[in-house]
This record gives sequence, structure tokens and C-alpha cells, in this order.
Amino acid sequence: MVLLVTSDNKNFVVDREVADRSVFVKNTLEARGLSIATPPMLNGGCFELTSPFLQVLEYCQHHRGEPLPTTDDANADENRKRTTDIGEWDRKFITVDHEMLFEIILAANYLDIKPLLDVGCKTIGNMVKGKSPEEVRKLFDIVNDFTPEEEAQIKKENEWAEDP
Amino acid sequence: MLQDATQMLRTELEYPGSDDTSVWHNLNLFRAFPPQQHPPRSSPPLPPSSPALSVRLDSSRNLGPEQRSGPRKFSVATAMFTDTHAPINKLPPEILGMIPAYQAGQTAKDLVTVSSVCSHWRNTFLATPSLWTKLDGKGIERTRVWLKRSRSLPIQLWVEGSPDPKVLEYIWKHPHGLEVVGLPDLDARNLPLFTHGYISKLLRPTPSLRHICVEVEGLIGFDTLMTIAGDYPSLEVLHLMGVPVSIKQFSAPNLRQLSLTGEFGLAKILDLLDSFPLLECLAFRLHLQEEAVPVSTERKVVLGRLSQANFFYHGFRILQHLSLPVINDLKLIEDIPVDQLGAGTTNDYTRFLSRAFDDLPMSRQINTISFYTKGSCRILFLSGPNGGMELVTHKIDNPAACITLLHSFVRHSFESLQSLSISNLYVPLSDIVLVSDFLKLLTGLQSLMMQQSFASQCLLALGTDSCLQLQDIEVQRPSPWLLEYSGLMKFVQDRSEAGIPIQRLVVSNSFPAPLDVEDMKTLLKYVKYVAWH
Repeated sequence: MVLLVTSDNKNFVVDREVADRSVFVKNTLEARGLSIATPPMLNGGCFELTSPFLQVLEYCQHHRGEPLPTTDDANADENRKRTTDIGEWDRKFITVDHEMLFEIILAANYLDIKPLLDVGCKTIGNMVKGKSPEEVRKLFDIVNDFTPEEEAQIKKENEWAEDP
Repeated sequence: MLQDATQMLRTELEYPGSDDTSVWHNLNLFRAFPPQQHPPRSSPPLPPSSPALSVRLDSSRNLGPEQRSGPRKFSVATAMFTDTHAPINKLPPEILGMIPAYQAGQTAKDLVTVSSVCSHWRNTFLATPSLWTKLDGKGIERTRVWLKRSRSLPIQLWVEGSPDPKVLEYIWKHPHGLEVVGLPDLDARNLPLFTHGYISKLLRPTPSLRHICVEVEGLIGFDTLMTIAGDYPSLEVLHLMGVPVSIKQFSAPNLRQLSLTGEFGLAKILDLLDSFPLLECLAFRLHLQEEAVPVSTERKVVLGRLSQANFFYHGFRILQHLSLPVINDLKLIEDIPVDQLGAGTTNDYTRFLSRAFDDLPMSRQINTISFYTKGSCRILFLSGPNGGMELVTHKIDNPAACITLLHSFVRHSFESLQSLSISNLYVPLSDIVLVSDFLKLLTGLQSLMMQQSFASQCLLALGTDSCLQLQDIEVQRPSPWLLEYSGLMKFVQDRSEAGIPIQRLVVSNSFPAPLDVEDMKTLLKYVKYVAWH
């Protein structure tokens, strides 16, 4: 068993097999001979992980024992990204509001859980695919802050992007 | 206890003091890009020791954004060009920059679209060179912009259809290295231009070139062969089909897939194969040149990783010099001249194949063998994904010769075969023992489909002391004689009484079955599932 402590002092006791889904935790434990990993944090100061961390643990629990993707095969990495397939369980798991989706991605990135990061990024990639810039802005509540000159440049780009 | 453990954690994993912005900045950047673009790492970097992080973090939560130190600096810097109202822009640029890489079937327009959402997204994607390394060879202006944005990363060029020569010229003149050159759909009419011009230049040996695919539909004559020469230290795939090549002083120690068209001497072929120890997949469409000094029959090349091989022509001659310990998919497509087959009869042909296979050092893992001839109307085809085998014969006019051939296979490979499908094997009743003798060798057989005459007699000949794992039988188009049906019933009854019952029996495409309701009831005593239609 492994005790994981989040930055807001929430303690989670999990099987080693579950904790090892995080390459970061796995390497930390192996490198330091510890039974405890680190309080997760990202840029921007303290990272409130409690809620996404629960989700992350649920993901790790479900996928425990599965082989981890290798980090040294660039082709496999590329292929993994390019497939839009998301398993049934993962699809249900990642069907959350945008805020939670981004939190899960951040947590997966920090904890180095590549398959979960893939699921999150694929989900956003699929959401964006085929949409116009305006539709993407509306989807993610983004303000169009381009200057008129930039707009003109972008319009020009859109013309040659459609070259035969 | 828990507090002790927590303290141990906090002491063990401390972060640097007020100068840790760079650490986090580097960490985030490090994670942002695919592994091939950064130095390899063994694990996520652990922060070096310093005063306890958790205390500082907890206290930082009570401070205003401008008062936070350390990691906050990076966030503030980021916020200067970020629409912070949008939750998605909480994602750091290195993650946001990866999102387009996850779009399957991504087009140039997709990339331009996501780069047109807002200034933050635009800055992020334009600052992510890996997004701009894939060129489709269409549009000189687009190619120019993509190359500029990809900065110094190697380019992946994959052109569906005929490429624009101007684009190819622009690319090969560009100082970037190429990682992938894919021209899988060339028009043969343009070949003289491309073969001796841009393609040769694109295929120059470079340290980054990993994948070459050039394929031309249909073979045409060439005055000059395309020459492949030099050191390709990263090359993993070399696929040159329909483009006859000359290979000289070629080195590719990491090659895993090789597909070649051309005319070579056997010794040259063996020398080439000997230099690819990592080869996993091979396809040859070759014409063998006659050589002044024949290759010694003793010469063997071991390809310890080769699992799949397709030979168009001369496969047997090459195979006799190969040792393939892990081969599991072998296809031989031959067009053997009649004069090599004696009188050209099927009997001679199958003997020829049988002899060839007798000499092959093949693996017991093999699950697919296919070979057939073009133009001679004699086709023998065996295949079998997932450990099964399908045998289909066409116009084999000598069943005994065919069975002899089967035996030569069995000696090599099929003791652990679990499923077998035999179609169109027309064997007279007098020779049916040949088929049953063949089946008896398949000790692990569980499932059998037969589309042939006298299927039941063949099964009866198995008796109750062979093929003990057999549970599933399907007979298609059985002979329309009572003998066939009564034979099937006796077979399942014998098996059931011997304690090795057939679980499933399917008889399909039969003539009106001479079975009444009572017969069916009897059958169901011995077989759990019966379908007769």
C-alpha cells in the first residue's frame, strides 16, 4: 500500500499497483525508496488536486495492471495520439464538465499518466475537430482578441490553407 | 504515524527557494514535447532539496496572486498573453500545444483553424514546431509556411497522388532534414521525371531519415535504375515497390521493414539480408540474375526477427538460404516456368513445392502460408490467422500429390493447429485415407470445416483415438448419398460413447437431408448443438 498526500493534506491510501500508474509516483518511489509520493503542484502556485485526484485515482484503479506505454518509441507515441478511439469506460469517465476535464488533464500531466493525458487531449481534439474558430470560441468561452491586422493575416492564411 | 510519514514526504521532496521558476518552467517545457525532440529522460525530474515546500505552498494560498513567489511567476508571465477568463486557458501552453497532435486525419485547415481562435492559441501553436512538420506536398505557399514554422525539426513528407514537382524541389532544397518520404501513389507515366530527379534527391542519406515509401502502380521499363547508396543510421522502413533500384554500399542497421523491386543476384540479396539483423517484415518482387559463381547451398542467413515475408517470384530459391525461426506469415507468389516443372502437370508442381518445403527450416509458430501461381491455373492456398489454417485447392487434378504436399507442411508446422478449413479438395473415396491420415497428425485440432466429398468417411477413418480435442465440425455441401449422413451420425455417436463428444455439428448447403425427426432426436443425444440446413 502507498500513502499519497495532496497539497491540501488529503491522504489517500492505495495499492502500489494503482499508484504505479503514475510514472511520476512510480519513479519517485523507486528512486527514493519511499512509500509516499509528492504533493502535486503546477504553475500558478498551489494546485487543488483533491477533486481531480479522486477522479485520477478512479482511473488508475480501473486501469491497474495494464501495460504502460513506452516512452522511448516516438512512432508509437505518434500513433497513440493520432487514433481518436477512446474506450467505452474512458469515454464515460471523461464525460465531465470542461472545468473538471482541464483539471484532470493537468493532474495527468503532472503525475505523468500518459494514457489519461491522451484521453483528455483526445477529447478536446475531438471537440475542436471540424469546428470554425468562432464555434471553438463559443465552445470554450474564449474571447477573440485579434487586432484587425492579425485578422487580415489569418484570413489570408485561410485562403492558402485550402490549396488543392 | 501518518504525520511522521507526511513529514518524511515533505522533507524528502522539497523544492528550491525563490528561484524555482526556472525549474517549473523547464519541467513544463520538458513534458510538452514528444520524446524525440528532447534529450531522453529516465524519470520526471525531482526537485532538489531545499526548505520544506508544503509550508510555503500552503502559505502561498493565502496570498494575493501578485504576492506569490516561485511557480506563480511563470503563471503571471503566462497570463500576460492569456485570456484568463476561458477555463481552457488554464492549460499551460505545452499541453494546449499538444491538442492538435491528437486530431486524427488532421488537415492543414484544421491547424489553421485552431491557430485562428485567439492570440494565446495562435502564439502557442505557432511556437510548437512539431505541429508543422507534416507536409502533404500540396501548395507551394503552404509548404513554405509549414517549413518556416517547423523550424529545424525534420520533415515528414507524405503525398497522396502525384506530387507537385515545384513543391518537391522546394523541399529538397530546404536545409531541413527529412524524417519521412512517402510517395505511395505515383503515376507510372511520370516516373522517368521523378525517378531520376527529385525522388533521388529526396532520398539522399541523412541521419534523420526514418521511413521511405515510394510505390508505383504497375511496372514500366527503365533505362536507368534508381540508386540507393550510403549510410542511413535511422532508417527503419524502406519500401520501394514498382521502382527498380540499384543498391550500392547501402547501410541501414536499424531497418525493420524492407520491400524491394528489382533485379539482383542471389548472392547480393543474401548479402543485403545479412546486413539487416533487426528485419521484421520483408516483401520482394525480384527477378534473380544468373551469377557466374553460384551461391553455395550451405550458405544460410539467419533473420531472427523476421515474422512476415512476401515473395513475388523466386521465393523458394531465396528461402532455401534463409533461417526464419520466428516466421509466422509467409506468402509465396510464384510464376514458375513450365520447363521447371517437368511435364507441367499438377503432380510435378506439387512435388516441386513439397521438395522445396522439405528443405525449409520453418518455425512451428507459423500460422499462415499462402502460395499460388499466376497464369498456370494451379492454385494452392493455405492461410490461417489466429492459429487456424484454411486449405483451398483449385484445379488440383491429382489429390494424392496434394496430400503429399500437405504431409510436407505438417512435418514442419502444424502439430498445434487448432482449426482447419478444407475447401474444394476433391478426393475419391479410395484415397480418403490420405486426408484422414493428414488429420490424425493434427493432435491439437478443435475445429474442422470440410467442403469436400466423402467428409463423413474421412471423419470415420479418424476413429476415436485421434484428434481428441475435436469439438466443432462443419460440413458444407456433403455428398448427396445416404452413406454420408449415416457416416456422420455414426461418427458423432462413436465419439460420444468414447467420452470425447462433438459439441457442435453444422451441415450446410446439403441436398434435402434424408433425416426424419427421429434421426434428429438421435443426433441430439450425442451432440449439444446441431444445425442442418
